[in-house]
Formats: sequence, C-alpha cells, structure tokens
Amino acid sequence: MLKWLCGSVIGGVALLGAVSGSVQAQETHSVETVKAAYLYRFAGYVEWPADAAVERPFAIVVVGDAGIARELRRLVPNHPVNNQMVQVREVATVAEVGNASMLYVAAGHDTFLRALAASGSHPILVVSDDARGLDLGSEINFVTVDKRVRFEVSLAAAERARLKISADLLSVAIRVQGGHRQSGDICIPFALPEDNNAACDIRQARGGARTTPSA
Amino acid sequence: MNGRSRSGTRWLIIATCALSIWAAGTAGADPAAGEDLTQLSLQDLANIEVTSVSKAAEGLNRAAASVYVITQEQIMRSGATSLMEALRLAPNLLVTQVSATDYVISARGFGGNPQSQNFSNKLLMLIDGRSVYTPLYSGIYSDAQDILLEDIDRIEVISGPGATLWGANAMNGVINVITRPSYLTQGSFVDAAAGSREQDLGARYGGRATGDLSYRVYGLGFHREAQWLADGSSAQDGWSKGQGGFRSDWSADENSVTLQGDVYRATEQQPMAVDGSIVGGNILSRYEHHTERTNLQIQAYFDQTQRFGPADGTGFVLHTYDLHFQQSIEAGANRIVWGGGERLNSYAISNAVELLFEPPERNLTLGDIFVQDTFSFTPALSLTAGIKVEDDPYWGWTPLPDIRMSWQANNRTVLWAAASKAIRSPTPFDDDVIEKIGTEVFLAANRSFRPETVMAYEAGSRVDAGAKLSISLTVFYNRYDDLRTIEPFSSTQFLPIYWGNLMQGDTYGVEGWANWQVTEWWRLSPGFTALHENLRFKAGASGILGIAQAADDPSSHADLNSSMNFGRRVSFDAAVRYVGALPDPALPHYFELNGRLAWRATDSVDLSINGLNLLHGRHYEFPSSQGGEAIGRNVMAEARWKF
Repeated sequence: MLKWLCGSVIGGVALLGAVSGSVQAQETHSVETVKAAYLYRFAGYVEWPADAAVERPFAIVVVGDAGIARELRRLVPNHPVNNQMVQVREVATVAEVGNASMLYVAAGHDTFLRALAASGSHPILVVSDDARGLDLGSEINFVTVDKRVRFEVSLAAAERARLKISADLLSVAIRVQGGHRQSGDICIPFALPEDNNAACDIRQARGGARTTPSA
Repeated sequence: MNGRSRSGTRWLIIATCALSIWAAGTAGADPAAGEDLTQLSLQDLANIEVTSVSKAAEGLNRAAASVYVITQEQIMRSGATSLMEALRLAPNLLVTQVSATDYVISARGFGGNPQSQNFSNKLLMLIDGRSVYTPLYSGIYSDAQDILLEDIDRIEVISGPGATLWGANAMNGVINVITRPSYLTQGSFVDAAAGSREQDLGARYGGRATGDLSYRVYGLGFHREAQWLADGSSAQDGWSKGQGGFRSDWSADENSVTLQGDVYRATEQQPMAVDGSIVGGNILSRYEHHTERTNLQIQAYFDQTQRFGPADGTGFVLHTYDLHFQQSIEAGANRIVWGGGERLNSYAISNAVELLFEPPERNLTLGDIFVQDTFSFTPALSLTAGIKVEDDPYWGWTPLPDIRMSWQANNRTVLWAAASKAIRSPTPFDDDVIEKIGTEVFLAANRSFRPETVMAYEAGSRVDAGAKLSISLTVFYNRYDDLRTIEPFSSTQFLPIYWGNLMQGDTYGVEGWANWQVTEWWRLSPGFTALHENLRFKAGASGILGIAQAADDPSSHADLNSSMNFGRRVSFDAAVRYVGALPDPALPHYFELNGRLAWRATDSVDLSINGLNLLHGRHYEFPSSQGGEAIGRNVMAEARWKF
C-alpha cells in the first residue's frame, strides 16, 4: 500500500513538476515585491503638509524586513517619488526614523509602533503589517486575504499626522477606520462591484482629485 | 517480531519518496526576479496572488511566551476537515484521536488517564474569546467544537501557563481560535468533501448592509463513520452534525461592535444503545473603543450546551453567562492592561444510578480581576508583570501571578524568560461526585479538594534568520503540587475512597520548531517536543493506582510539514508526525502521514485529494484499555468554490 501510494505520488509530482515548470514564474510574485510596489504607489495618493520639515530626498524607512528594503532599493533607480529620488533606510529604533516621509513596520514589531505613537506626531505615513496595526497608530495596514495583499486605512491616524489620503486609495482599501467623516463622504471601501457607491464613482471620474475625506 | 525491519523499510521508502519529490520539484525552478509591479494600479496590486512566505510566529515574535500561530492558509492546505485535526499543525500541542467523536488535546503533558477518571484538564481553549473548557469535569468536549475552517483567521497556541490573562485552567497552555471579521469573508463559499470515512458540506455567504456594517452567515454539516474496536468489530460510534451561525461587524470612528452566534446539533451512535445527542448554541457580543493611547473592550456571551447519553437517561444541561471587560493604556514606557469579569455556570445533571453529582444542580460563579504592566526599559528590553485574582466557586480567591522578560538581542534574535503560577481549579467532578457499586458508596465527594497548582519557569529564543528561516526554541521546568490522587476513607476503613491532593512532581522539557523557505515554492516546517515527567506521592498518600493515574504521556513527539507550490495552480502538502510510546497503559510509538494534493481548476474553484493517517489501514493513538479505538485511514476528495 505504502509503496503504491508513494509510487503514485512520485509519479504525479514529477509530472506536475515538469508541467508546471514551464508555466511557472509569470503569475506568482513574492510578498516582498508586491508590498514594495504598494509602498511606492501609496506615496502618490498621500499629501504631506506643506509646512512639514521632511527629509530630502524622499525617505522610506523600513523596520524589521530586509526583504522589503532590498526590493525598495532595487526599485530606486527608475522610480522617483514626487520628482525626488528615493532613499531607503533600515532602522531599529524610533530615534533613527528622523524626518522620513514613509515608514514600513514589519509584522512582530508592535513595540516599535507603540514607541512611535508615544514619540509624538511627525507627519509620516506609517504602513504596518500587524493584525492590530491600525489600533497601534499606523495609517495603512497590510492584510493578506486569500493569498492577496490588501490594506486597511485609518483616517483618524492620518488626521493626527496631518496627512491627506486620496479617496482613490480609500476606494481600494478593504476597510476604512475612524476619522471625522460624514456618511457618504468616502467611497465604500470594498472590492465587490455592487459596493461602489455614487460618491466613489464621481471621485474616480474626476481623475482622483486629492480631496481630503475629512469633514 | 519483524517490526523493526518493517519500519526500517518503511522509512527507506518514505525517504526515497521525499527525495524524489524534491528532485521533481527542483525541475520547476525559481521564478525570475526583477519584475516591476509599480506600474500597476492599486486595484491590480490588490488582485495579485502572492506566494506566501508567512512565518508562523508572525506578529508575535516579541511575545515572551512559547507561541505558535496556525495560519488560515496552513489549515486550508492541511487536508483537515475539523478543528481538532487542524490543531495537529501546532508542534507544541499533542493531538490524540481517541474515537470517532473524541480527541484529547494536551500541551507539556498531562493528557490524562481516563481509566483513573483523570482527563486532559490543564489546557484552556477559547473560540473568539468564549471559553469552551467545560466547568463540569474540566476538559474539552471536542465533538461540540466545530467551526467553518475557511472562516478561521488564525489559531494561537500558547504552551505554558497563561493564567494571568486567561485565568484558571490555562495551566499548561491556551488555544485561542480567532475567526476572521466578516468584512474579510465577503461573497459566497461552498466546500464539499467526500470519502468512504466522512462526508462534509459547508457554505457561507458574506455581505454588507451598509459601508460600516458587514455580516456573514454559514452552515455546515457532516457525517463521520465509526472507528474500530480491538477485536476488529465496529466501535459503532459514527456521528452526524449540523451547525449554523453568523457574525456581523460594525465599525465607525473609534468604536466597533461584533455580534456572533452558532447553533449545533449532533447525533452520536452508541454501541448497543440508542443514539446520544448534543445540542447547543451561543451568542457573543463585543464592543471595542479605540483611542490613540487606549483600547477598551467589553464582551458578553451566553452559551448553552446539552448532552444526552444513551438509554440510562444521563446527561446535562449547562448554561454559561459571561461578562468581561479589558482596557489597555499606553502611558510613557508603560503598557497597562487591566480588566475583570464574572461568569455564571448554571447546570443540571441527570444522574446515572452509579455515578451521581450531589447536588445535581448548581449555579457556580467565577469572578476575576487582573492587571498587567509591560514596562520598556529600552525599546529592546521589556519586563511584563501581572497578577490575576480569581474567585473560584469551590476554593475562593486565588492569586495567579506572572512575570516575563523579553530582550530583542539584535535585529534577528529575541530572548525571553518567564516565571508564572497557574492552577487547575476544582470542579463538580472533584467536589460533588459520588460513585456507587450497587448500593454501596465506592467514592465520596471531597468538599475540601484543593486546586492543582503549577509553578512554571520557562525561557526561550526566537531567531529570524532572514526571510528564509525562523526558529523558535523553548525550555521549561514546571513544579506541580496538589495533583489529584485517590485516598482511602481512613487508616482503618477503605471505602468510600475520595479524591485527595497528594501527588507532586516536576516536569521539564524542550519545544522547538522552525520554518524554512527552502525555495520560493517549497517550505519545510519541522517541530519537536520532549518531555520528562518526574511525579511522586506526598507523605501520607495511599499510592492507589500509582503515579500513572496522573498522565500517560509520550516522552517526545515530532512532526515535519512540507508545503509545495507547483506554479500557481497546483500545490502539494504533506505532514508526517511521530508520537513516542505511551508508558502506562502502554502503547507503541507511531508514525502517521497527512497530505493534500490540490489543483486550482479556475480562479474560484479548488479541487483536492486529502488523506489523513495514510500510513496505516488502522492505527491506535490512545490505548484500547482507555477507550482508544483503531483509527482508520481517511482519504477524500474535496471541492471548494468561491463566488
């Protein structure tokens, strides 16, 4: 029985390996590649306050994930953000974050998020990767659902950091939390087509005007 | 006996098998690096499927405890069709299938000895914050705990005491089953599995009422065939279950509310008797209020569970009402969590002639209050100290203190150590039970039965060696006292015997696991635990039934999970497990294999062949003298459809 089972498994797997070898690669992407692409894209949907003392060139700081930092650096040469070159730094402490514009905090570094929240509200876009990320003060949090990387947004956190987040970004978010918004002010943050309400369609039709969803 | 050579041949075959699979797999080489996804829209990015390299310890690598997290993806890829089988994925748990309906789950030993009426009672289990540890005899009725596996977000398995946060009976571990919020389970889902040993059907629909209010409803049903007795005849314990439920989540501004509930009914065949049945339901609501520095949570639930035995009319009805609150506050370098609550267990037992609970009905109240502070000396070094005081219905106020230290030595390494106290609290089975032989009282209740206690000392490290490898290792040393024994009535009169607290001892051991992303498409996850138990009677103990009455645990168990993706359409998962021999009553060690070969036919349809316990036609996980049955090989075809 065991030999038979093993034999058929070997046969089957060998066949699969041979078949899949040819079709592999073009459709799967690593989590790091996708998250790094998101981070670059997020920058285009966020407005930092004009009076903020931000570091130049545009600084993305990474905590706890060398893979994402590597991916970001790979993208640096051909991908300016807001017409600036991008610098990518990996740090371990809140003090090293400085006046960076964007911060990615990998899963398992909730202590870092707590320390950051306690250190005051510098206008920095914090992207986390933790089930409790938004509660811990991040503006955007990655959520992996059905093998797809999605994200949720906290408008309350964005307000505190004086960041304006575009409705276009909210419309793709899987969930939008908090903020002093009025009902109907933002798109319903769901991917299902029937959930896109009129307000959402209007905003998108206007070409993603950078309106703040705050009242 | 040619058992050794047969087992040698078997390993040779398995090793060849594994090597061939590896060789076959390397043919489908790594995908090319260097792609540029930044040209895609956010919507397109959100639809890209990723090859998951999720680490089991995700989100918890700073926790100063031995925590293993079973992810949703692991469960869906395992081939498991029940929550109990899914728990086999945690290397720090020992899952033992006793019969068609019954599983014994333990961590760090004390899996019980049913012959001596000692059950696996030192492990707590919660489903979305609702305790499913029965207060009647202490332990978990595994047949009453089902859940649509697709809706599980993760299962956090903590080995070691968790009493300060979770209370009594979180003595050797806590299992936290957490389902996904309904906004993450939108759309329709149907899951059907069928084989000769079981048939399962589950369905769920998730929708949104308004932008802030989402919901899901689900139903599941299954039939599982009977297992076998030692003489080869059917154990006549096949069973069928139907269950339905819902969850809705509402969030706006800083507030969120969750309301969820389940109802279930199962019919269980009994040998030579009419069927037994279990019926139950629960409803839970949770309110959360978040601000920048605080998080308040208030949770209330009601749970009803009824169990009706066969012809003799035994059974029970248990109603549980629970109200708890918890607040966390960030204040400078301190993170304070405090809370408390009250639980009412109201039960009525239909006594059997020779096994009575006196009184048969009671209202037991269990109150608790706790506070815990995590102080960060530096961002890398933190100390957590906490205490829970629990007002146990039989024993009164009991302090459950805990102190933990966590040090992030460098970017990749966390070291932690902890010392904590926990108890297994007395239950009606310890304090109220009367057993008779004919009309003579054989065992009388002991109204002054004390809690069983443990002082646990643990230390561990987690190493995150880049994206490819993470390792967790924990050592523990536990000192137990007041463990339950059986004592004669007096020095001159034997009967009636009663429960005593005259055993103590220590256990020590090691738990370790790793996650190794061998290639982009292949992950290997080995796990191992070793346990040494050194129990002894205290002065004055009768020694009746020996120390084996406390536990019949293997000195080690191990597993190796392999997870492979062949392109984005085909995946192959295999999990081999080893469980060491049980000492007394004896049961030889065994190896078993679970596997799943899946093909994603379209983006919304998954087809798979799942196999559980593939290595043997039938095997024992629990001694037949203890009620263990021969568990059969289980192969089934499964289809999942999302739309």
